Amino acid sequence: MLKLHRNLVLVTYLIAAIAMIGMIVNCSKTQDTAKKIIGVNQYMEHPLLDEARKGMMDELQKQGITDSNGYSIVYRNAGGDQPTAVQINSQFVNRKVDMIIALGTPSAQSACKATQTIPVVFGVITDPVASGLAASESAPGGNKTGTSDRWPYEKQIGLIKQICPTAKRVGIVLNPGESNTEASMKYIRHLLKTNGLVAIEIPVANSSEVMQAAQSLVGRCDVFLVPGDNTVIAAISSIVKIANENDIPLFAGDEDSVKKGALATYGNNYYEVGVATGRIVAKIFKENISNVGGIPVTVATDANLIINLKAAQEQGIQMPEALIKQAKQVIK
Amino acid sequence: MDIGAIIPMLASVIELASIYSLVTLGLVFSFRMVGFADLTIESSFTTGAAVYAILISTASCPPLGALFAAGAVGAVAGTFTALLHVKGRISRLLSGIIMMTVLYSVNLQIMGKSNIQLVYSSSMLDFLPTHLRPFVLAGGAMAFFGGALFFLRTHFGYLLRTCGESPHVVTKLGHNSGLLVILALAISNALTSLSGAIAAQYFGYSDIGMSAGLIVSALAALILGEAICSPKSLFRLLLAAFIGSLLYRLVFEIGLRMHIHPWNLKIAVGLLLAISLVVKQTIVRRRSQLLVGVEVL
Repeated sequence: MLKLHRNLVLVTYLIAAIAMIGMIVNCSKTQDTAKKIIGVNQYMEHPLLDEARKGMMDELQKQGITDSNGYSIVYRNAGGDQPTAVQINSQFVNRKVDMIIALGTPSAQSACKATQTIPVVFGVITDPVASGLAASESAPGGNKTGTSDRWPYEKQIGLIKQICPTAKRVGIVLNPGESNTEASMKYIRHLLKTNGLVAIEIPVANSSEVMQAAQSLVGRCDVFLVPGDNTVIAAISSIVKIANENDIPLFAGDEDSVKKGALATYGNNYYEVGVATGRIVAKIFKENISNVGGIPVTVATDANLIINLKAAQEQGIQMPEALIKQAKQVIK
Repeated sequence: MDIGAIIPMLASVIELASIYSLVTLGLVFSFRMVGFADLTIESSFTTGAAVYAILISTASCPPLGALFAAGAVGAVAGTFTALLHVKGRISRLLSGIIMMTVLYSVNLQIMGKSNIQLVYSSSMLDFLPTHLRPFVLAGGAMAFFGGALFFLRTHFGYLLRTCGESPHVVTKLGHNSGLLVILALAISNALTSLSGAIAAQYFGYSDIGMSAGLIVSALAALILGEAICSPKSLFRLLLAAFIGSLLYRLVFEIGLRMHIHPWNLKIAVGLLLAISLVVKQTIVRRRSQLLVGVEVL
């Protein structure tokens, strides 16, 4: 009786295994060999990455890189899980895709490790050189190139000088565990110093610690500055609250934070970063470029001034009229 | 696509699973042998990757030496966790939580930044032809599993197992049960760190966030394996750890191929876990077999 039971279990496993393999075969069937396949590996669901992908897809559509023209774009999202990002890349390599587009640093780094032959176009990388994706921005080398979303830091730090000329101490909440933060702080620290400002940095490990960290800066800084840090940007509302309560001007780097209550910024347009990424992709296919590493990294230069007058009122700031005139978008 | 496309896919699943199976093997030592729900591994995986990355990128250490160093640092981390519990009398869960938290800062200190790239550093894996890689990685993992099996069957190994199931017996036999806990956690975290170091060369980078959610995935793999091959002997428990790791990765692979939205991937894992646990509780228990190992989680 026991033996029969055991055999039954074994048979069940066997059937399950066959069903699994069947499913895999079925799933792999979608490939059409005549088409050029582009694999898109996005590291996580993130408003800025999504925006960039949208820009890229629109540009590809415009340039005729579409299904009807013999291309097939396969989109995968790693959901912020690094082993999954690696797995997606090896799937692409196994499928022998014609190009991998990697949005986000972990996706891009593992794509470069996964293949030395398939062209890799990375997008939305703050510092491609420090991340090891490019030998230099003018000539990345190897099989890869892409775009950087480095913010116009000089203009952003300049804003502090213009709006709060008397400010000296800049309070910054940051997550040292993020590679983006590391990259953006490199520029920010240098620029603050050359502008005669002092940075006071408070580290956090996750977004729930941001409010407390900002609170601890009250009285120790003249203005708040939010760097390109996803953890802190995710908790921007808690810094806005503290800034408003204590009349501390809050500066941010991304447009979205200004909409949520920071004073002003020269924002990078992530849609445009995506468009630039799409342009590189189209160029490689259309001009049949084999030396992909010879295409320079595109750094977004298009910056829009955006000002939040409601925040200015909350934080007790008189916004200079000249700036308001220059602004591309004013929130009232 | 023909059946030939399955082979490269299986190869990448085997590669990733072999790397992560060392973490599951580590869990066997901590969770199953001495009954210590050790959360340190959530960070010591990254510690291994960090030590490996910094040694390779700045000290140009030979890869094998860097792997060894990573394992050693992991062992030290595990020892600290065990000491907190054995000598400091802090509860097991809390000891793990403390070390997990402390290691986050230590990892950042080791790397000096949050992400080190190793894309162009030579790794041992690069010398291998691609089609040999899954065999070598799986073979390496097998060697560790074999070593563990051998070790657990020695006199010392039996003591280790007794230590989890009935600690007072160990004490009555005149052995120090605290020392055995320290040993088990050192081994467990050394294996986890080693796995992290191998992952760093396989991924091409070391990142502070690379071990997020590791405990859940390793435990899921172990439970999945246990549901399939009921661990009524030591051999079958270790087999369960390996097969579980393979299946866990396979589920992800299938999920990705079936275009499951990444938001829902964890639901799939949760469902699978629940089903495995039910299978384990009903079918395996109904046979009323004596199972090897303690069940802390």
